[in-house]
Amino acid sequence: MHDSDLIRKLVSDNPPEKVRNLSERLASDPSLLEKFVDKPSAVLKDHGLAVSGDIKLGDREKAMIRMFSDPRVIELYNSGKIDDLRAHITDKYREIVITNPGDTHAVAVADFDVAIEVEVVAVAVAVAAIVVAGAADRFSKLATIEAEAGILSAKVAALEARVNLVDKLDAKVTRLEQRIR
Amino acid sequence: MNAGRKPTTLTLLTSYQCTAACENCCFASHPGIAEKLPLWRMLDAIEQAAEMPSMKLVVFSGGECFMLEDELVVAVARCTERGLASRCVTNGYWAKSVQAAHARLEPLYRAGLREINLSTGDHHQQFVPVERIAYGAAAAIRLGMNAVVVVEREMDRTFHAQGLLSHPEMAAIRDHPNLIVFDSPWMAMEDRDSVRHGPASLTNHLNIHRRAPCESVLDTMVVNPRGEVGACCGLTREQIPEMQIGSLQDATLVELAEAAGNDFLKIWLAVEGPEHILAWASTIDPRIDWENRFNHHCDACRALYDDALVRDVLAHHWRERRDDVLYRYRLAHQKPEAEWPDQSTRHTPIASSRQEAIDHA
Repeated sequence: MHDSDLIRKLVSDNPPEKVRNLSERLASDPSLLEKFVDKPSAVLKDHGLAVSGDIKLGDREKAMIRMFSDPRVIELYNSGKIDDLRAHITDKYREIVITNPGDTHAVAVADFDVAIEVEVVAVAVAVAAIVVAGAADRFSKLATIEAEAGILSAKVAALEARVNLVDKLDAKVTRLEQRIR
Repeated sequence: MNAGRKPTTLTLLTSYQCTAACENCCFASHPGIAEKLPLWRMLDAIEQAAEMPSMKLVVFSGGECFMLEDELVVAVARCTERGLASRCVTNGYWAKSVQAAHARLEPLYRAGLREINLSTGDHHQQFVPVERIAYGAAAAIRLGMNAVVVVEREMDRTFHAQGLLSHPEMAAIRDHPNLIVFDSPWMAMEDRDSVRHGPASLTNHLNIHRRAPCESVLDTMVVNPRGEVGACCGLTREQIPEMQIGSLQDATLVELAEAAGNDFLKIWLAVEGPEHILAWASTIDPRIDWENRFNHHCDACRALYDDALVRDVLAHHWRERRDDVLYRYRLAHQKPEAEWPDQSTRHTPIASSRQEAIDHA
């Protein structure tokens, strides 16, 4: 199965009931979320989602899952306070900001294909990993666009200022020429 | 570059020319000074700062940096393009109304400026009405900038922050999270008796524990209108030859920062602050008079470098404190895995010719 097919399946509007239940519990129960981050296979099993093989999350994925369960992140994102959001993420979730090359995405789900084959497991881990990755990508694009817009705006302001400087010089030259005449 | 405190801030003293001529201005600024930092030099310094990974902020000060007009916009924009934050320190003379203030700040905001520092108090108000501080701060806040208002503090002052906050424009923004108003000591630059401070604010053995290390030395690099570079943004820096670390005509910012980082006394100031060094020196030579004299870090620092008795103690006894100071410096500023440079070459006590004279005295 290609990643794109998987994403379509997992982010469908009608996820399997067990997945939905688990997602809701993860969102509302911080202790369960912590347990899930630590031992995803065990939590999945507890919720009737059989897993073959041990699923491991990397530091970055763990931080991402925690980040998207952080009410402050959601609040800042929804209110458009991107500077505050960036500061909050940088402060609380350094692992996301600084990617460890050794901590590759492959580590996120050790037996990803196996897990998918066992159907449901696809579930929480993949949902978490993929939804999270998608959201992180949106954040990243947003930050890039914002930074580029800021630089563009600065360049325009600088050009306008330089035009003003040239105009002033021009006026000065004109005054000097008039005096010479 | 050596391990240790790395510069995070570049301050450009764009000119000593100012619309005001305050008594005891730290740079003796006034309208009659023509010398200014050329735009190309400012841009070059910003480019050099952007190459230093530790640099985060460029501060435009003076003199009065708003007298640069469009050149200030160009320089601020260059900071933004290079990923450096920027701040302008000003007396607010240009804020004749909220509209006028907006017109001056709007291009700067688009260029990436996100903070202005406005100076006011009894001395500044002889030249710039306090209304302009209110207009400038209000316009900045409405644009989405941070506005910091610094109010002069001395013993017999007539103006207080409350006077500013009661202005109608300020009343509307006084609780805004982007507004900060605070007092800062006004300092005598030539005649010590020309500025008085309450006895409770002067450093002595009872309150010295509240005096902190110097946060500016080796953290801020200052370029003055002549292109000379200083190792701190202290008020008395121009009066301390050892704080002048070179010129952009002869060296790069990186080279100058590295050389300054080898100066033991600057490290010591970063670890303990001038008051503690003076207090320690007085335990060796009790003739050193430091108690109840200094209200401001920079005043104490000037005395430390200028007092012959202190210099003599430093020249002959600095090694007694070396290991302790360097150990604490390492704890504060080095990564655990960092290696010390070779002991024989790593630090000179004071890098300047004045210290050499002390050593040879």
